[in-house]
Amino acid sequence: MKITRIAVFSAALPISGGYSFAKGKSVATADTTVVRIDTDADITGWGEACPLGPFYLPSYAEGVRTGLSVLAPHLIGLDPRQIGALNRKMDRELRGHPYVKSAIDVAAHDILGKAGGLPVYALLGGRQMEAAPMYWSVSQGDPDDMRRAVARARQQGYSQFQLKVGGDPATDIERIRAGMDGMRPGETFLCDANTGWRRDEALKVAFATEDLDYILEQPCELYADNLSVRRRVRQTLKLDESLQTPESISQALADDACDVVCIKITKMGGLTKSRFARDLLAAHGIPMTVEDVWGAEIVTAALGHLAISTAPEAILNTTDLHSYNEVHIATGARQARQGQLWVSDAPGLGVEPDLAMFDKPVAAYG
Amino acid sequence: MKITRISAYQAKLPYVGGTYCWGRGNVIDTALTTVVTVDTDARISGCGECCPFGANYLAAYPEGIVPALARLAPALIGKDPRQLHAIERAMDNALKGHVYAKTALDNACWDILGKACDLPVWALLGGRLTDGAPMYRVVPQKPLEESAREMAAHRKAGYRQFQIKVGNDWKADIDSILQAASLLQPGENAYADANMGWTVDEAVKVVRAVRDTGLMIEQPCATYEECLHVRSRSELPTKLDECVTGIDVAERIVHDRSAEVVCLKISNLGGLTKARRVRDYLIEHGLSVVSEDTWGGEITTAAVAHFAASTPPELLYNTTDLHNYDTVTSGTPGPRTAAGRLYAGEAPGLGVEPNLTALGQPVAVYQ
Repeated sequence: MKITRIAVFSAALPISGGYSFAKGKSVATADTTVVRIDTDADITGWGEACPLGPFYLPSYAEGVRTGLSVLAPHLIGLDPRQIGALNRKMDRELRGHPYVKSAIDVAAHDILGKAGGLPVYALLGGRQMEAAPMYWSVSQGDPDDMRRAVARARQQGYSQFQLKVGGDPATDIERIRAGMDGMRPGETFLCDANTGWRRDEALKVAFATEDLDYILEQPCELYADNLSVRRRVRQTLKLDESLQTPESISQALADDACDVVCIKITKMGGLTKSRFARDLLAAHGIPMTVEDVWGAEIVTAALGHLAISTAPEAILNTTDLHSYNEVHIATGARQARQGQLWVSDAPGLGVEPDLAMFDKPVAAYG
Repeated sequence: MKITRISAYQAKLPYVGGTYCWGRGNVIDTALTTVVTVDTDARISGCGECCPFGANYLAAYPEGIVPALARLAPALIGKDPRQLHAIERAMDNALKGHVYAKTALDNACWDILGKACDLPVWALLGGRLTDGAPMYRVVPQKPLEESAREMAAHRKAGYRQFQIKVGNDWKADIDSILQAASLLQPGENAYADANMGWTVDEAVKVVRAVRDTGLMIEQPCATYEECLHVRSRSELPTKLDECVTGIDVAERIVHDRSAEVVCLKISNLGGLTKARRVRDYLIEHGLSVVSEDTWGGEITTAAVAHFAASTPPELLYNTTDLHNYDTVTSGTPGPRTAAGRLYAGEAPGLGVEPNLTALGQPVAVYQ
């Protein structure tokens, strides 16, 4: 089997109510890139990569497509089922920039699954659960608005909630108290600063809310600062932005730097690299959020397969990213209801992109 | 003073020696450079240049610069280019990471600041501590006889430091290193640069075999951790290069004492603002540095020259005249070189203007 064509599409994803997080950052509309890989075997694979603005992680939407313009020509004629070789080729032609490579790797998994008649989760270790528990992310805002957002999500069946903090510490303390007001037994709260605090600000917030049972997520920007905070607060610590590579994860394990890790497929550079990180962390008994940076239905399908193939004790939660957008790009794969994410048993990702939306590529190679 | 317009130009820079082989089986013959000019309402303009060395050397690729500028440039229009830290923050807020794409803009702002104060950039980086920075020349991956001839030719041209390129074939590399050591004349220096090409076991075999040469080994393997592993098995001095991507790595180097010499490639660090911080930190801890960049023409080399000139001579290991590796000129005048030394001039700013003949029309303009 050979790759005959790689088509790259772009779609705007308006986010319901917009999404605000640390340091005054906010995204109203995300720009997603969808990749379609066609083969000489009549099997087509789909992948999607959607940075959350150019200021959240070192990735940006135009960069995905520019990177693909350099990478894609080198992949024409290769066997997409040889995913290890495909990754080596990508790394050989373009160093770094994992966010550029992610959608190709996901599409290759879609193809391998379809070629083998297996759902992608079967290529990632097999189904470990019926459905994966989801969290709902609450955009940073007025504390009472955030309290109401939690209540709405709770009504929809979510039992895990992530409050976006990382702004002014005094307001963040209010946000945490308001958001967690009415916390029910069995619920999980994460308070995610998205690197927004200095050390002293993180300590201030953590000490002031020490009576509350939540997971503190990515308080500071620098790894060393997070490590310092971790050593002084009682809260369980989750890292996300600090862990973008396998090396950083190894370092975090060696340093006992965190108790929970966020795996984001596009952040790591695809399912291959994410699966590797997932397996390493699971072997250490470190639970994970298994998700992606942002995206629509193809992203959610991919993250769903990775989530569903994670051991139950190793997965804290996942998320239905497509639910946050007002535009939908595919049908088929997954359902999200009552706080749980299901994935399809159809071969590959099990997702049917809306071909009318993906009619005119911004670029095509091959 | 406000930035009124930012323009980006591109030009191909063919390698003067035809085909350049580096590391483990990599080949390049032409690099694509991007030159950025920044115009202001004070009739002062600055320029900067960034030339990634292909797409697979560092996490940087030439085609990735202009799309990143589409994010960065609008954030800088209307801002005062002399406020270097505010410019840095504005760029980092507009686009995370991608420091290679920020380099040319940062350097152009230094150029403007220098022109605005009527001072050369070295005067703003600490002053001229080194007058005439010693340069090294590359002895490429070639058959032994050719390499010996190249080394002799460089010697004749006045160079006294030779960087022996290895990393493709560890057995042949041992011979290359031993030969280089045997050809050295008094007062000369050579070191072997694998450009990340060896696996740890290959590197360990090499350092063991060439131990008696005493020659420094540069970036034997891809990652910092692998190089640390090799160092633990080696008595030879170590130079780190490609993995030096920021102050965090510099801190690890100091903490681990994992290198004697650290190569500072300005675009690997993100421009003079960031590079200067790393340089000052390392020399504060007694480590030597190399001032250079990935590739580039005269504008890149001008920044390299000012950076080198403002580094204390006993901790400036060497620098290089990157523009002399190309057959196309990105700017004029190029920094003066004589008897194996690189000089930064007295002209304000970087002291170089873009060569618009070679650069042609801008590929992008923001205003």
